[in-house]
Amino acid sequence: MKLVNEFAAVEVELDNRANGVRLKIVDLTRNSHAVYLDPVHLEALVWADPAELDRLTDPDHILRRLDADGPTDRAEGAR
Amino acid sequence: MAVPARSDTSAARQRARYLEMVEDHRVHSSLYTDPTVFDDEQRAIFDGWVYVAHESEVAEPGDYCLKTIGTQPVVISRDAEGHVHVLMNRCSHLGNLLCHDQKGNSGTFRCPYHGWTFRNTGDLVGVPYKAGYGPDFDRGDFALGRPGRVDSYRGFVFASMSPDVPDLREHLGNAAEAIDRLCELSPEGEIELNRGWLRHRTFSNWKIAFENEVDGYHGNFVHRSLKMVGSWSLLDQADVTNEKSASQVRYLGNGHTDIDWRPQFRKVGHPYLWLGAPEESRLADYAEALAARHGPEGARERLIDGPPHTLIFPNLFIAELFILVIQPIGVGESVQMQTPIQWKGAPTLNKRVMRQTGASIGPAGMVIADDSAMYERNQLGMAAREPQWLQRTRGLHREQTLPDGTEVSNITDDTPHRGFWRHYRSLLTGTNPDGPLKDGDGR
Repeated sequence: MKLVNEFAAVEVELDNRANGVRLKIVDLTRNSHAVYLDPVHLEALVWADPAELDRLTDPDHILRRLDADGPTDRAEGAR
Repeated sequence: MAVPARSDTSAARQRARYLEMVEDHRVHSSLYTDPTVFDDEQRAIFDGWVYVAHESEVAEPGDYCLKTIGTQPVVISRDAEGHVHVLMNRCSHLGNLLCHDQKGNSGTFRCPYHGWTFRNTGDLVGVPYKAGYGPDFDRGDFALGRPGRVDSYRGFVFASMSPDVPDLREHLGNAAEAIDRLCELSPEGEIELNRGWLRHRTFSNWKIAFENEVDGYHGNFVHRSLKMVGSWSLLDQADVTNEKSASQVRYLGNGHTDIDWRPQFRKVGHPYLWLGAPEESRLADYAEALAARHGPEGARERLIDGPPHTLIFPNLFIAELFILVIQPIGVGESVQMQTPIQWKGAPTLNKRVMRQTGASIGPAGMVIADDSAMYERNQLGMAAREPQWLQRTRGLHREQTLPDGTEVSNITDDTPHRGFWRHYRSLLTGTNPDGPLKDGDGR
């Protein structure tokens, strides 16, 4: 399922390849960079306060991660 | 450091100029054609209270939509806590347009030019490669711009670029009653604007649209074609714009104007003359829900009176079944933004409103399209510079001022236009608030 607005575009899907279910989120604007979130991570998002979300949406933070990891699927790379 | 203000000499020149161009009973046509007049209006009028949006347009947290204050782009957003914000749609970095889609949902706005990222409250979240700005860079210095004042009345959000204005309630004055009357036709006391907007561009000055909407004189000519192609209850059953009808034009003060159909509707005494005069049984569920709020008598009076036909200065037209927002683009160009009104808790009424407005404001509509043709002819005609003046003398001998200050006259008279222009003159000259010219006004 693709979620797109004028600022970002991601693809979200349920991933069942691991021993437990996860949510896979792909950044469509940065060539398949992906994250896998388990239910505990997702629960944490429910309770994240605005300042924590701001830290995650800070473009400086995103660019630093991008520079460190490169545009790869991190979980795939770990396999 | 502040940008230098306009010099006193220049302000005095402007004052003298508008005192000359706006007389009590006639106005100079260069007010509609001179680009410098348009620029002056942006400061003198559109920096004061203007309508920007309805709260129902950003109903959910994260919702945003794009609007304008005069010619300035703004974003209306609802934050995670439910507060509505009016933000200048301009990145605080290099002035790029921050949001582009007419509406959307996002808690975060990211500028496409260099990636500066803002929360939908206007606070700067961060910038890419922040270290390049040095150790003293403070995000708090770069929030999005905001108007000087923002306030709302029954869901209608207004903003003023200038912080130095009276309270919104004082600005609305007698026109607040029109918003009340509109909302009280809902069994829940609220309206919603959620059916999308029609953008109708015309090559005409914004004031032509404002003046036309309260011109009861033109209905019998411009809208004659409606009578030729079918029935329109306002003209057929109610005959509201007939010179002999009991309808009245009104000047409400502070630039607000109105056509009051109620005296004529009450004379005819039939509910729903404002809605195509359907059989009452077709709206029985709506009438019943309204009676639960206002009692049977109160509900029936409201169903006869109908919604208002009121212009809230300078850009909001509450047009019975739809909202029309006048957006100035340039001295000879405007956009009319139009949307059907939906009354909360009134699905049967709302369905009918969608059909009715499709015939008036829709792409194949026959009301605003005909009006707009007249606006453009008006603008074209004024390219001829002689005779130089537009006449606003109709009804001078028969208008009256009521104890609350409202000025009323016959349906075809220029009373609201004279009030509009007096208010205009007071704003452009900064003198003689809302009154007729007197000795000592510099003439």
